[in-house]
Amino acid sequence: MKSVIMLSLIFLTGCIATPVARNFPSAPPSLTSTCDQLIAAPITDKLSVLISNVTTNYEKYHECSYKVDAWNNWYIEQKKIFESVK
Amino acid sequence: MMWLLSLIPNFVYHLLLLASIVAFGSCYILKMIPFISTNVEIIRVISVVVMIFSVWMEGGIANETKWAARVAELEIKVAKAEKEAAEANGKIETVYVDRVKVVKEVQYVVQSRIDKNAAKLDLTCKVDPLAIEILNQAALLGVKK
Repeated sequence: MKSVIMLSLIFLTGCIATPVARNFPSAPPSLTSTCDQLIAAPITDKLSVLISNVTTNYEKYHECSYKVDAWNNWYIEQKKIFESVK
Repeated sequence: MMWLLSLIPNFVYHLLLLASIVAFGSCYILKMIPFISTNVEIIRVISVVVMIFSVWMEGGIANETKWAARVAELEIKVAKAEKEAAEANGKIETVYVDRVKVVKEVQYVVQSRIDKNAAKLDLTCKVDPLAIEILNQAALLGVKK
């Protein structure tokens, strides 16, 4: 019985091997950094300083938003390419 | 037993098959020759066994060839996909960089407008510290430590 099992294992070795290796696609370097934190407004009574702070934070939001969009596009594109190989 | 294919060249199985067919066919002639005729049955049995083994290995060779072709085809497809993936990365990065550039340009324009009108804005409105506190509470809510 043992020899039957051993022989089966030897015969099955050809079925285990997967000869075509696939590499995980790399991501664009500019997308791999984290989003910037929002900046707290300084204590001031000047509206111009406050507005400046708010617009800077808007800028950070837009950058982060485009980064998320880019990641979504990256996933959709890479999935399409991955699934095209059959 | 297909691992044998990697150890012994394919032509050996072709020769074995050919030899077994010749041996099996020659049994009909050898039967007529005295002295040898007594061993004909043994030759026939051996040739049949070798023939079965060779045919089986020929099947293995055909299967192996088919899979090797499939692997080669897949390797080409994978290489093409990797190239396409790199190209897609380039396009996505370009779009992102361009958008960020536009954001920074708009931010520059907005900041310039604020600087230009700072005196007017500060003259007509004084910000209460409570407003700053509320704004910061919203901005820093759930901030990553």
